[in-house]
Amino acid sequence: MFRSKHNEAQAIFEILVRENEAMLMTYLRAAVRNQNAVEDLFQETMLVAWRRLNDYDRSCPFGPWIRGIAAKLIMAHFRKAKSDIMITGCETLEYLSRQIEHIHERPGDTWEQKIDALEHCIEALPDNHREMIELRYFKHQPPSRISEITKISLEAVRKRLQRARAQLLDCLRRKKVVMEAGT
Amino acid sequence: MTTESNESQNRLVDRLSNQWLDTEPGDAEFYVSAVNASESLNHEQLHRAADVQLIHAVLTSLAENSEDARQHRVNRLMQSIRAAREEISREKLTSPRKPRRYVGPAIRWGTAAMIIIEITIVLTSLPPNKAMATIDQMISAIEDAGDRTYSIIVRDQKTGRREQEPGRFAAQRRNRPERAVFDGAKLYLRGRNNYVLYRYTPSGQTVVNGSNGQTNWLIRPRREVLISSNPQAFRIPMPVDLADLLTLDFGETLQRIRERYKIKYLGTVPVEQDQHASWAYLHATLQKHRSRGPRVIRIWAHPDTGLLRRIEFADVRLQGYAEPKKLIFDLVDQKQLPNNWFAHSAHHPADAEVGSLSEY
Repeated sequence: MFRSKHNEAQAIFEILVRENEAMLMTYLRAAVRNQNAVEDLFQETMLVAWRRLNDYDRSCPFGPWIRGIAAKLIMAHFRKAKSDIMITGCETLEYLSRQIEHIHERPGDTWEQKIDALEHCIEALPDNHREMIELRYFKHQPPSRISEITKISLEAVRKRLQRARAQLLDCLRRKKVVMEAGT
Repeated sequence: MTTESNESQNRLVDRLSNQWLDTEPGDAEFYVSAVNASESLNHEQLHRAADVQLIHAVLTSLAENSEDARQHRVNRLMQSIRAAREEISREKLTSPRKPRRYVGPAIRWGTAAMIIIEITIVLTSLPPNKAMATIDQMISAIEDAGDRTYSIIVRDQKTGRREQEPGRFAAQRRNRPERAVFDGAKLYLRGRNNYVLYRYTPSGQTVVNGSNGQTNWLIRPRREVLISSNPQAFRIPMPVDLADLLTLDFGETLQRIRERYKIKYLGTVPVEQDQHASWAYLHATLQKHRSRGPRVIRIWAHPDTGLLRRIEFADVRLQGYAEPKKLIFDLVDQKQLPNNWFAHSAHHPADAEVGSLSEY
């Protein structure tokens, strides 16, 4: 039995989607604040990619191509919901795309393996900063709830989260996971 | 630009980015002000903001430890693609049909072969799983291991500080006997079935559980020694979160972790105070959120022999403590213990009263 050409293209596309799902979600999350909008933009980006698959040059990597589509959709989203996006402009999105590509080129078969170093960086945080990261990201608590749980002021929670993220950025730079600023 | 002014510039950008990331619904003005302020940022500052937001995104990806969410996302997309295709097919049925271009068997076979090759490349490029190999080596190492002594430590999850004497005053208030606790306990192991666990009450009384593989026994202060041939007798009351995960047979515990947790090998690292040696470090996260058990387990093992050096269970609710704790088993000694160490008689005076509970 032969699969139709369409089914075959769909099967190949599904493989590409699965391979690039975590990478694209990271790119979108870095640019767009609203989680629902991120999910919608993911669907929209991939649907546009599917429709334009014939335009994709298979000798080039899929990642930058798909992020190029996503960048245009992010800019369109910015026009509708300005406060969802803080870093605007093609140049900044292009910079973000280069950072993502830098991670994507790291050894490892999955996105998780490529960002493994982050686990070490979290481990190396001071206890009170690691606690903030664990509550905010791994327990999905908003800052106001973290403030209640830890019995420290909301302002202090925000400050600690800010410092923890800055430390993680420094750590990932030292480990060459993230490129140096201005690269 | 000086380093000092760079740092002050970074702080300003970080404040804006973090304000944008951490504002909650209902606080719209807060993030609108961050967005407005960001409009005056220059390229360098925007790159810094992008980096901070990248950290947020990478953390969110790391924390999205649910295959279900990813599966759902991809399935939703593929359904949309199929639905769009069916829509086109329906439209074609109602419109005049164009003559179909002939696609020869060679092209069909070629495309099919291409898919098979692509899938094969994806599957064969996966590296041997170092984490699983390390766990398997650890389980085998327990079979051949000599005597081992582990110290049990309970630490506050938030502060990381060691906590002692839980529930002493509560027990006094309720006029109940004090409970022996895990913090400060010592666990002696030989092979997989021989164990002795020394625990202490807050006032210093000793409770000893043990087994030589055939007889389980229990020694409590001022009471007769109990022995039983029932393998279930005098089992250690494990914390609720660990009830179906942790046993004193670490081989069994590691096997359960292997089955239920997603394990990553994160290289070789020192263990806390012991900075002279490096140990293989495994980070295990609970695979299914509906399963019971701590969300994270950290494991250190000898990189060559697989000997379990330390295991940490995070966020465990222990009896007698209000807040979640870390429960840690830390290898402190490997000296050979006396031959009779796992028999009850090695741990009480010769004239102690011993009661046999065959039906216990």
